[in-house]
Amino acid sequence: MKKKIIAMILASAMALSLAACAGTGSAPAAPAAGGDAAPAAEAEGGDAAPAAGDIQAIWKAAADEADDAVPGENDDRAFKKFDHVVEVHYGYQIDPVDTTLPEGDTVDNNQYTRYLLENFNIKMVCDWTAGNNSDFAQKVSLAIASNSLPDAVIAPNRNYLVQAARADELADLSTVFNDYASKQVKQIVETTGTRAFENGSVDGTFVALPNITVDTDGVYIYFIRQDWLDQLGIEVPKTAAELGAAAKAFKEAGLSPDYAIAGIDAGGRTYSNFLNSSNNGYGFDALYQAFNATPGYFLRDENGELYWGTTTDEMKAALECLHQWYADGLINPEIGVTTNGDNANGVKNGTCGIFMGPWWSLGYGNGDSFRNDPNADWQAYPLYTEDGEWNIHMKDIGTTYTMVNKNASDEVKEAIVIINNVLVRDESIFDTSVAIAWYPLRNTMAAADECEYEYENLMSILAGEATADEYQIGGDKFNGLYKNTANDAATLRDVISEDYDPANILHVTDCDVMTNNGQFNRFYAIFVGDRPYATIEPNKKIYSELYYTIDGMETYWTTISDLEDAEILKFITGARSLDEWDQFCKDWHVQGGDQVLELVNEFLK
Amino acid sequence: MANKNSSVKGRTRSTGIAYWIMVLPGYIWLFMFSIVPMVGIVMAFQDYNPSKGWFGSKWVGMKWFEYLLVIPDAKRALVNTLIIAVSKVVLNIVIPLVFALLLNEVKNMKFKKAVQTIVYLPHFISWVILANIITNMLGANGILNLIMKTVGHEPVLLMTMPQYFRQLLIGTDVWKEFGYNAVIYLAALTGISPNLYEAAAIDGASKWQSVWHITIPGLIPTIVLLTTLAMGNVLNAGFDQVFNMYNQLVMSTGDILDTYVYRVGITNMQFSLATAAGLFKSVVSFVLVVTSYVLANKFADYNIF
Repeated sequence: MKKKIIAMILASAMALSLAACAGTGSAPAAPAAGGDAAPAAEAEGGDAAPAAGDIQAIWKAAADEADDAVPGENDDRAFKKFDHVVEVHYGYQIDPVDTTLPEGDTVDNNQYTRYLLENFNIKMVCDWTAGNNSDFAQKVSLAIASNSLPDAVIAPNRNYLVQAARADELADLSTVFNDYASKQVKQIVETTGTRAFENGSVDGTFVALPNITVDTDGVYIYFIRQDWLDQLGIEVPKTAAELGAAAKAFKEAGLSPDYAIAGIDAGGRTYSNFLNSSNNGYGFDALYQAFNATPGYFLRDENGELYWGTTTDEMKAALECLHQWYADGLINPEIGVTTNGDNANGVKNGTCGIFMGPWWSLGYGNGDSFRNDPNADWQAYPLYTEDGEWNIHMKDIGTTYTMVNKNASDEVKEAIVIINNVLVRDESIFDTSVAIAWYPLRNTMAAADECEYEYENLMSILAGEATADEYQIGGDKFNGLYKNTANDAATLRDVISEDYDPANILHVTDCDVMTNNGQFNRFYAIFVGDRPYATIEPNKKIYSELYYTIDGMETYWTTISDLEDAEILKFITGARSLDEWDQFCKDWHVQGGDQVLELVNEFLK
Repeated sequence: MANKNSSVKGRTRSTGIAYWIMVLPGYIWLFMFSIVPMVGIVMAFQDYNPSKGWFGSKWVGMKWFEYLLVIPDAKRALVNTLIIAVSKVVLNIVIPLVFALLLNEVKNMKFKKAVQTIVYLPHFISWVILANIITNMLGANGILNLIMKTVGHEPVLLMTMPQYFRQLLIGTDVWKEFGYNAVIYLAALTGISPNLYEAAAIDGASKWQSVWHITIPGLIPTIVLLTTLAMGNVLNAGFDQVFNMYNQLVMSTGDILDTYVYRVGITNMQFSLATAAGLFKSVVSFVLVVTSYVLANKFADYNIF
């Protein structure tokens, strides 16, 4: 009897453990629902109108649209207020270490979401969040695989968009975007020619609001504590060797007791590749460039042969330099291991004096650094090659996409377009001391040269060549395309001291950090972070031959990108000797790299 | 056995239904989450595309399995899985056993209960939390390196060293679970009749002899049972632990089949390849469970079912 009971209990325990074992097998089974729905929908779409989804066919040019309502106001099209509350569900990536959100506010109840609710009757409901890039990407991918996308979510790169579109989970946004995009948004879209339309379309249907970012998002420079350089009497480093020497001096002088150069968090890459060609904070992109290496890009040699940017001798030389730095204790020893933004701790608490990234890494990116020490004089400089050239790699027009669930109602679709319009128009009047990243579904749209335009025009105001009033709405120099200029011009003197002489570079000591902290962050990013790209003409601009994956490439790409991500980091830390570099290159090519190059070559013909 | 059964036949029938009702929820769960999703196995033999579904996707036969065999990552994951999981299985049987035997000899009941409760607690901390605690403890500014610094040693970053990562995984897992596993042995120990010990003592057996000739044989059924059940886990190196603790630097020794399947299937959306890898794992686990069941039956004369 007793035995029997035990046997029963064990049998059920077995059953349970079997169920647990099979857990991994069951997850991928979910997409069935999405698959079943597909054929029916295709038939519908096909019957209705042959050109459905082709946004270029129906596009009404920005010039033909009526002017938008002024910031803060409503109109009846792009900035209409719904007569009842429209709920928009979304999934969103948040910054787990952000400290700017006031106590009690949440991802879907903060000053930005309340603004949308009060002025437009749009209620944001956040279904799920993720704290870092890879977690977010995984959640999006799961949502696609299980056909459970919220009303709107941002695709981390084009692969997710294509996957979701081919699974027929996305709404056709061509009509609603044409009807409701603001004049300003349309102007920005038109500055890209047809690139934005193409980016937002999959198989001819416009299924996503493409992200259109400033070019300088993909231009990498290095950041250094100028006050420390001055204290130690070191010239501004121009080359990798000089930068290494400065880092060593920082460490020896005790300014950087732990490490002098910050690195990436776990799951990050030390360089941005063709899929994520911009905004790689804390990577070493600037250094690779200084060795003429363009890792992660599809490039052509002088004979027109396609090759992969990582498996090159230049890359090996760059890695030798990085490994030396690592061995000397200059780079964060926990590079690639820290989690949840801990990689930035040294920069924020004033113990690390060097890091790399795009323009916004200063100000927007390291605001805590100035709040902790208002005299932390971070400056941005390009890193040149030994020959004195500044060769930069250029990004895709945008990397991310706002995808809308196919089952979203028309009102929800309109709301999503309006949310984007509002961000583009009103970002300048928001109090951005609460990080703008808390704006729901923020998927930036900006003219490619916005930062450089602002740099020049705001500098001319500082130099007394123009007045802030000329940039206000109705003023001579007002230009709706450069959406933030009016407000920036008006608030310039909140931050920058009257004593500042525009003939010199801007220092943190010329600024008032705390009075208007949001604008301080922005001005510091523009005047210091973007100064290299705004004032120095690069010698070469390097584009990838391709910025997204193509059919047939995914399987190989999975394998080789995994290999690349793990091995590059190991070469840096010395877990793998660079003597094995040739073996790595061979492995990369054999394990699928050759097939990928062949596919891409064929595709580009 | 047969006699016993027939003598209580009448009772078995009525109480049998009660037992079936007791296991029913387990079986429903099993059916819903393990049997039904098995249909998804077809994806392993297809070039699966979510929009075409199981019926529309192209059949590719064994392509993905062949591909798995040539990908170094998959092989590496298999080797890591075997090393990590086998070590965990063995240590999670041996260490709790030794611990239970030692604790059993403790005569102070308060102390015994206190120790038992304390070592039992880590079992209830989820890996998400524990992995972060461990990562921080072993980090550059963690307690380990603070001690290293005070004794004037160079900092040691264990989480970046592939050569120690497996040991770290195994060690932390055993640390977390041994108290919990020991409970089963402690229960079995109380089931051994004190008469046997008394008889042995009268016959002049030493402490060691009575452990060897009474306690261990008394525990054999439990050991066999736990071993057999553990065999099903021989390819389960513990997804939640590894996933929360590993990073790119320790991938070479830390990547296991489950994390590999996760990265391939969920992160990179290679559903077919991931299903193939998952199916491969399940088949191997199934063979191992059946084998160990047969072996337990043959050599230890113990029927689990």
